[in-house]
Amino acid sequence: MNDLIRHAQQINQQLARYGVKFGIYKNGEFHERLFPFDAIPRVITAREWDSLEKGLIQRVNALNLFLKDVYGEKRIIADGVVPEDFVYRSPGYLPQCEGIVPVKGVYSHISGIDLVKGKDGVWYILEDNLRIPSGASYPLIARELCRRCSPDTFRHNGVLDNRNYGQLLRRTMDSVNTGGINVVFTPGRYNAAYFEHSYLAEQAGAVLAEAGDLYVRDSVLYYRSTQGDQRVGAVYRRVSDEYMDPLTFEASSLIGIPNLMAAYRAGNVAVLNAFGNGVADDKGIYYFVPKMIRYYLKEEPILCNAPTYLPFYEEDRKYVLDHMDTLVIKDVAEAGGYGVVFGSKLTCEQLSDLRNTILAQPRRFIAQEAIDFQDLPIMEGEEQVERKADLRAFVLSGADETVVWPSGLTRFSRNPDSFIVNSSQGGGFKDTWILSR
Amino acid sequence: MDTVTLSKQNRLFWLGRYAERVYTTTQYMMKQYDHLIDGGTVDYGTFCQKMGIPCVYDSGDDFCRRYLFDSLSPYSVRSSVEAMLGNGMVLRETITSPTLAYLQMAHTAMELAAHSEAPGVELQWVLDDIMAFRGSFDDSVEVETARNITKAGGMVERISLMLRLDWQLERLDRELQKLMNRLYKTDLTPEKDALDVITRRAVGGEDIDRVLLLNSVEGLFRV
Repeated sequence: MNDLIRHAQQINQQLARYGVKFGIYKNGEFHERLFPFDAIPRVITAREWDSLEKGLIQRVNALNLFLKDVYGEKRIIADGVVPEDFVYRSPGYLPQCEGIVPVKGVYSHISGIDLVKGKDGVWYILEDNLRIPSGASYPLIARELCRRCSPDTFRHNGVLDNRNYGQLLRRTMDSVNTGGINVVFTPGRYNAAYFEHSYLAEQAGAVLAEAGDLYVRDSVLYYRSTQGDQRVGAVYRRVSDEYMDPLTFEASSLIGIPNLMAAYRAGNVAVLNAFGNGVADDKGIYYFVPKMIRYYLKEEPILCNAPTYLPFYEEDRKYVLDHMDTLVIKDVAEAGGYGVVFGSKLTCEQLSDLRNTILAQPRRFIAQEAIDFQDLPIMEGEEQVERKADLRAFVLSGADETVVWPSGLTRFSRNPDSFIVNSSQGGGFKDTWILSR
Repeated sequence: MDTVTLSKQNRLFWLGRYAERVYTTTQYMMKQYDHLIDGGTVDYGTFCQKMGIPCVYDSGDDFCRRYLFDSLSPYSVRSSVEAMLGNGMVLRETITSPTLAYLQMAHTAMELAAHSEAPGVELQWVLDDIMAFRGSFDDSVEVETARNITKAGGMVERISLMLRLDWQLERLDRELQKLMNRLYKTDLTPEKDALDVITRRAVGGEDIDRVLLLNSVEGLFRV
């Protein structure tokens, strides 16, 4: 490990060489930044990973069943396990998807599950990302460069190779492909995650396409090529639902594909991830995921949720209002680290305002106990310091199997007082090692 | 896997043009810098006129600095480096990450040059990285059409700069013939009138008015 730390500067130079960047918009202007990388990896033992892997597969399988149910028979609502309020009022629920079963019945092909490890050694799920979770490309390329800069480290530590993400992605796409080419669909060069879009297209052997490159004719998606138009069998889209088809969703979208929904509805193209998945990764629905696992799989959840309260329920609301100063309050409509409030950091006046908002709109919030999660060491100059960090695990679901990528994106906060690890808010990333023993 | 779309054709072509523009104008400006060391002057007014860009410079020194490094000017070499990298970035899965890395390195070298008091060494790195890019591009890009479109773009730019700047004109006929040979290996459809003019010069050796030839080269492809 010391060898890796000694080569940290070299690794960062290599990351710059390959343009490992993310974009942010500040004051209406687009800026690209190198994603700060810390050479000290998060290390997960084989035994620990075994349990995580099983738990993640279990969770994603249940979430896929939930999506199929909620846009189909709605048994889980009829049986009173999930209140209909949490489904139909979710901004991620799309009535346009009612009755549509995606190709091979898979909804969330690429799931990003965020976890933290508590000081008690228990892994807690923080949230599920089933729409367009990003971040796999960073540890993927970082591993390649770390191996180049410090080969001895990898010769002696028994780290599972994570450089197969491109193949896993390709296998997932191929398994639902309806006959045609695989496409990664990007909103374009000025998207925050453009590096990732182009890198994953390359790694998965797919074609990178933007709005003008694709069109729908007779409910079939085509790619405009100089060799004639080619049918598209699977599209890994990195554009939000609402912008994907201006004839179905946001009419003003210029980055979508008119009539894509018709091709999707007809089963002529697989869209990864499926439309409408937002209903299952809504922060309000999160509370119900352990119940889904019991309901659909008849199993006990392997992984824990962070202790969560729903002000929607009177009993929970009372608890939340009584303990606001110790809880983490999350606005279910926000993402990317926004809309997260630590009660302990609010003034009396702010607490009072939040209390009134919760009373007026209880469905809009969830509250969680602040998990005392393990800090990870990072290098700050020559000094080693401890910072908050989470882990995004990537779970890939194809027609026949669900697998977990043996790695993940470990993000850390660079601010010693902050729990917010998002890159858009200044966070950095680490490699995640899964040991073979 | 790769397929060339119409929009990709455009990017490939302009990638070639910008890479060549950066390469040739950097070489040209390094000579101007060298000239200034001995107290020489730079006829930047004529340069701007020939290039068809606004002459907003106060002195030879100012010209050397700002034509190379002014990030706000769309005519600067630095802006051409941005455009070169921008076109490369949207072609990653066609040109591959290792090839794109050379463009990224050229960009990094140009940024270092822009902040250096003696940028000659960093500018040399820009040239080195573009040469490495060309080698890697040739080796990595599987689709022959894609390779040829970028090369054709580079040739159009090189000939355009030769004609504009009266620069290395002794190589003009050879470059025109190379362009003619390359033309038929792309999927691009040339403009007939422009092609006629170039053919008359390249194949027939006819003495063609410089402006007509320049316009024909610039208008050869509508991409």
